[in-house]
Amino acid sequence: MLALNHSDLTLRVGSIAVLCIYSAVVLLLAGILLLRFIRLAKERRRRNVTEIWRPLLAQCVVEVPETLPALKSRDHLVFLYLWNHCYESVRGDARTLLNELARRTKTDQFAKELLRSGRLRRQLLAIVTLGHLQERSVWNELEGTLQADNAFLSLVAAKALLNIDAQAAIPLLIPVISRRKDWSPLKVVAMFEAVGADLAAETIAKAACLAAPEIGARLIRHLAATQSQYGLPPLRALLRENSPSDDVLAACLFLFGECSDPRDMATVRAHMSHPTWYVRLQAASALGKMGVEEDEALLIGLLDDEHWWVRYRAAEALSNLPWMTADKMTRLCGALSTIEAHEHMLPFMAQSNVRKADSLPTAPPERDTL
Amino acid sequence: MTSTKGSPGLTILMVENKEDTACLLEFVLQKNGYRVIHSNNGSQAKSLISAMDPPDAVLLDMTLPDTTGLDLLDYLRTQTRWQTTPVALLTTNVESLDSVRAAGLGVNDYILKPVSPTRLAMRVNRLLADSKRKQPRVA
Repeated sequence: MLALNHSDLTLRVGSIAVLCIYSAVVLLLAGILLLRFIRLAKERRRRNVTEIWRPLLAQCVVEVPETLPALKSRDHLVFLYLWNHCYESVRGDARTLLNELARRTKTDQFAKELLRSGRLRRQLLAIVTLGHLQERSVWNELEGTLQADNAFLSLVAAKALLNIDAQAAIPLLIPVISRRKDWSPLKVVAMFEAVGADLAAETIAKAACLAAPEIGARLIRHLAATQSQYGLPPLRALLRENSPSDDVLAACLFLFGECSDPRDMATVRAHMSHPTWYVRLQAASALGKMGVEEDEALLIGLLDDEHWWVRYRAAEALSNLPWMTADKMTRLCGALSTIEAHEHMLPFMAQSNVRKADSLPTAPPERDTL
Repeated sequence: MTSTKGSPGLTILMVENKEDTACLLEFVLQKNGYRVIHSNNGSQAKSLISAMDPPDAVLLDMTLPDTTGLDLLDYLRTQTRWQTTPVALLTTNVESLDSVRAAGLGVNDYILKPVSPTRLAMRVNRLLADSKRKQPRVA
């Protein structure tokens, strides 16, 4: 037994310590049990809400029933996850019906409360929901969220603004895109998918023109993913009217090569002798994609460039030219005057010979991103 | 919703791992008169394919937790009775598909996600109508 009243002080202190440890263990166990109980109760509630609302949401993509079960406020969060998932799984009229369901269950009101809750996960859910609902009343709050320190939160807000009113959102977004270093250009391109590739390309190009070189160059490179030519006019104007940095220039040349618009041929040719090696490199790569027969000489000239990568890309570009056959490459290789030029052509000539031997359709050699 | 009633009683095997999406597709198909057998992973679907008679059509999600839609389709086509069963692939991005392999395995249609309920019903009706038209020639 514990000797709490024992005359020996050491024994008394020891007994008190043992009692404290026992109490702490019991409290800890009780805490663990309580947390487990809360978690199970939450899980049970989530399951119940899912069982009721999942089939109802499926039904709502076809028609919204006249009577709906009551939705308790503590269940609304689970409902929001289900509703958003369902919304993103359908398109067309089904989304209008889901919006009707959301308004009838006062989901718009609930989402507005979540937006002001100050908890990140809830704010994200609220912003996504309000974007889907095209809720104009939160426009100013979403616009303010564009400046949030959290990049993900601000990107989600940008997407919601685009969902609510793309035409009004774009002028707001252009300066933000050009300023935010933490926004992934890939995410920016994906964000604009919903509003259409052409509008996306034009907006991103305009943002790139305003941006600092390191942001602008990244945005321009990713413009190729939109597969739209609408991004080209602002960039042509930028090259014509300003003197952009070498990074931006190289990115523009990369994009010109990807888009292969003959109107950009003169610009590409003009940069074949640029003092910066990576500008020459991008000009060579672009010419390999869009060049005509008279450009062959320009590319052959770059085989003697002082920089290894430029020589390599020039050789690759030559091998990519649509009229370049294995025999023609062999003849070209034989006529080269320097060892460097010859060495760079050899692997591409070998590839070309293998393709010829296998009678495979001519596919360009794999490119890396430089 | 446009009337897109399918032939009542026709059976569709749907392999889709996301419960929410499966529930939604199942509802739309049932609403259009089809009987739906749902499997939510590759191994369960393989067991079903080995055990059951071929359904009238198969809807196959491209991304499953334990296999890919194309691998499952490959397995399905090795079963003698399933070689002419019409199959539609459910995918979010048709450009990322190995279209040559898919064509070789006899994919009859692609259904892009997110789905429009009306278009889903129309596509499934057409898939079944096309396969019915082809049947006499096969025989």
